[in-house]
Amino acid sequence: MQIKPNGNKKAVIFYEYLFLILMIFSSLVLLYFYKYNNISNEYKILLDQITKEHKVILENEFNDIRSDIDYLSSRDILQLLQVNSEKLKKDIKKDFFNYMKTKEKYDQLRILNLNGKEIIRIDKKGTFPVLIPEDKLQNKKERYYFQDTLKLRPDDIYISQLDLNKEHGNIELPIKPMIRLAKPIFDKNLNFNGVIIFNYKAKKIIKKLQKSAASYNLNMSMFNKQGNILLYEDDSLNWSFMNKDSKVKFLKQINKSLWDDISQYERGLFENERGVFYIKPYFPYHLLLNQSNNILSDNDKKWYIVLSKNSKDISELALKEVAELIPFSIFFLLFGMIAIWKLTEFRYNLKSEEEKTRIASMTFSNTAQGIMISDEKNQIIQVNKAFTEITGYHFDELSGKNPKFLKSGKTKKEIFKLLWKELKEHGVWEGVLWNRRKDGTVYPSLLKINIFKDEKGNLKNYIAVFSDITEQMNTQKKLEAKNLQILESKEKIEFAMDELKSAQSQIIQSEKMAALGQLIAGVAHEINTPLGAINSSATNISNAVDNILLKAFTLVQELPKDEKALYIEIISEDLSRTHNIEFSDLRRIKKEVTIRLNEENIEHARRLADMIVTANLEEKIEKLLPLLKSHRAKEIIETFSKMSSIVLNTSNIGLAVSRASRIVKALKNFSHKNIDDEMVYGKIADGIETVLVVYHSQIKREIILTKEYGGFDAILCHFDELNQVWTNIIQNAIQSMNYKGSLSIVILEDEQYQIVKISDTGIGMSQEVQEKIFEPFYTTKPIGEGTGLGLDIVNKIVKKHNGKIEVESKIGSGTTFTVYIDKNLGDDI
Amino acid sequence: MSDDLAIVCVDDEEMVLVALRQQIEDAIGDECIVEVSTSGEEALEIIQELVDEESASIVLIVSDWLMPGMRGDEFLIRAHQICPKVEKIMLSGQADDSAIKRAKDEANLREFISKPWDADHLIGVIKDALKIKKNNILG
Repeated sequence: MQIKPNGNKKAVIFYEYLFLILMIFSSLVLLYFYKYNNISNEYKILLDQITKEHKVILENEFNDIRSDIDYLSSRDILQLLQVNSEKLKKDIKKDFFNYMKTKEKYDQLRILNLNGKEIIRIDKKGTFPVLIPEDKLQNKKERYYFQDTLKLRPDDIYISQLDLNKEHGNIELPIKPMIRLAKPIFDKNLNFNGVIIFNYKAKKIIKKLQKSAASYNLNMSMFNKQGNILLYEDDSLNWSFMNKDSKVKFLKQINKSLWDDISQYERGLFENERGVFYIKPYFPYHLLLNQSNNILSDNDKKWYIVLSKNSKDISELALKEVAELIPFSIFFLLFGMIAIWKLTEFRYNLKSEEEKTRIASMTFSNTAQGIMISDEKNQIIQVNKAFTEITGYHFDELSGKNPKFLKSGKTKKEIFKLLWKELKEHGVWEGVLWNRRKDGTVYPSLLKINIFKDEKGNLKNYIAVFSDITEQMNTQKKLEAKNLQILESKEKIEFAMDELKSAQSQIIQSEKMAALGQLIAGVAHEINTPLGAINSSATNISNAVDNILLKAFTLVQELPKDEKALYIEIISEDLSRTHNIEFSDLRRIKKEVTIRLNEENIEHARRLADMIVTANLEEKIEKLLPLLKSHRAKEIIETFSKMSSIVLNTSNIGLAVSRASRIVKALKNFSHKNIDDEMVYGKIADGIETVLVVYHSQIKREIILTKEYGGFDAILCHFDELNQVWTNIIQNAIQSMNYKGSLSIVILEDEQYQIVKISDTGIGMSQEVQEKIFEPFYTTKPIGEGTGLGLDIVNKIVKKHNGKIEVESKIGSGTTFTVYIDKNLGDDI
Repeated sequence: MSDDLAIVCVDDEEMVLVALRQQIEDAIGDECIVEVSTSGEEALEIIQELVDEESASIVLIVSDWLMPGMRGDEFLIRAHQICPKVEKIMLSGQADDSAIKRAKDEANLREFISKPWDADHLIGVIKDALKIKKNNILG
């Protein structure tokens, strides 16, 4: 059997709970039936008992009645009937009257003569007797009780039905259940003389019977022989047969089964679905005469008294008793549930413990690792299957022996020392031992020894678990050899990679230098031009200074007063202005000035005009006229011209120097190599400008250059390497146009990139060429002009900037390179 | 014919023209006027104008070689076609040997002077040219 999963355990508990609940429920049900039965039986006994009680009550009552009748009959009624003595009559009447006074149960007493005429009649008003006067006495000859009584023998008594008294045809209220008793009166000769009649009020006796039943919570019903209802559980049906308006006159109309039982069985104790009941017929005649051999109307006058207890009432009682047990049942249920839960837990724990032990035992037998257990003296007490498979020894051969004999001698002694030391200190050792099999072969075993101690901490067992690791050792050796090979290859590859890297960096540098070499002549021109200008301007200044200082000084001293003032004014106010005339306008202005001077008949007009324009005084001619007309005009204007030239040449030197230094700086930037390979902040536009300065001499001839730089921010980049990108593309553009055409450089920006579009109007490329241009060593240039590494390197540099290059080209109309440089490279770091 | 003499200088760099003009004027300003231009095309117009108007006699043409548009050798060749007798020198930071040779062959280039130039040497050349011109006029 397997350990059941937890879900099953829950199911088991569930079913056990269900069983417990059902059991308690069915116990309660059984208990109910038992109780019901018990109660029924109790009531049966009661019914029997009360019925007997009823019988006694009725017998007593009817005995009384009997003795009353006997007593009154024994009075000398004959005398009353036969003798007409008023006094006697009066005495008898008085006697009767007194008697009636004491007998509450009789309602009326009458004596009728043989003709049916009332001789004496005593009624009752309430409990008080009233003697009816003679004139009010009636003849009742035709009444059934008179006629019936006539038929009786001397000792018989007539007994009427038990019914309600009627007055003038209506039921008297409050109802008066009544029995009429009559006895014929005979003389000595057995001649019929008259009848004595009692009206017996049954109300009291009925009450008494009811009370007796009610004292034991029994229902009592009464029916007459015909099945009319006299008394019933439902009071409204009492005496209903007397009521003309009532539809229910017979028991069978409302409770047919009861009537069937009555008419079928007549008497006895019964139990059925309605409950328990006792049917008992009473024969008033028997009661009265204490005999059963009646003559008349015996059967007709009988009543049935049914005492009963309804099943509904019994079951209520039973339920009530059962209900008293419910709290206890709930307690029992809860207790049971807890007990079941605990028991199940316990059972499962027990089971899982057993399973664990079984699994452990199975594992012990079936594991591929050899296991050897020895006792505190290190004598072998158990080994598993794998042990035998590895070592070749069976348990029988080993039992009780010391494991020493497994040793091969190959294991170093230090290892055993360590083993025992570790076991002593930590209770566990793990390592490799070289052991010998039964067949003599030596093998390495990976071994773990644990010490097992009892609760008191005394050493009980050594447990050794081991594997034969011969295979693993061989594999490991192979792996180590392989690994060594791999490491060696890796080092070689890394070395090669390093070499390649440094080669690439050298290539980039030499590409750059190659480009520079091609440019060097142009660059020389670019530098020599400002140098020439500087040199000449310096000479010019020096000449001017030499010439004019003395001349100006002399002029100031020698000029007439007016001219002197004007001369000084012009020097101080007008000469310092910078030259702002376009060269193309120079000739025109000079001509105009010459014409003006000629108009004034001034000598050396052209030379003077030259100098005036040089001195930037062309607009001050009118002011100058007095000096121009002076005989020393040429000297004066010459000093102006020289002074102005000092200013002009000085500024020229400044311009030239800045030009030269711009070129030098660009060259420096261009050839610079960033050794650290670190990124720096730089503006793309600055890099492009550097390249353009270097290429200025090539571009300026016949290439129209348009630039849209957009003024974007500096980005983190490999600035020097990007110069290599611009150099390559711009150089290709210039060369493809054969130094003639339009070169457009546009810088754009989007979310991620700064984008450089470099377009030329050169010869363009075919699709095939476009596909190859980024391959290393591909070139369309003549041998010696390009290494073919340019765009390959460009591509690498751009990729280093997380970017890309797109080429768009059409043969005959030009090429556009679009370079995307990631502007957020710094964010990744 | 005017007695004025003219020297025409062409260079795309104004700084060179400023320095050159002053230098020449300082040396021989009394005898010559200096016409300057930043491009060969414009310079040709000036030369044509001077020749047509006969307002001044051109003594010397000085030209840079590396310029946008028309290069120095081409300019001198075309100037030579207008005034073949005028002396021509090239003053440049750098020039193709082939271009110099072509100018010599086709424009009777007198001398190539490289920038930065020696002022005395340049003026010497100019003065020589002037002397020749004067002799021509006198002769």
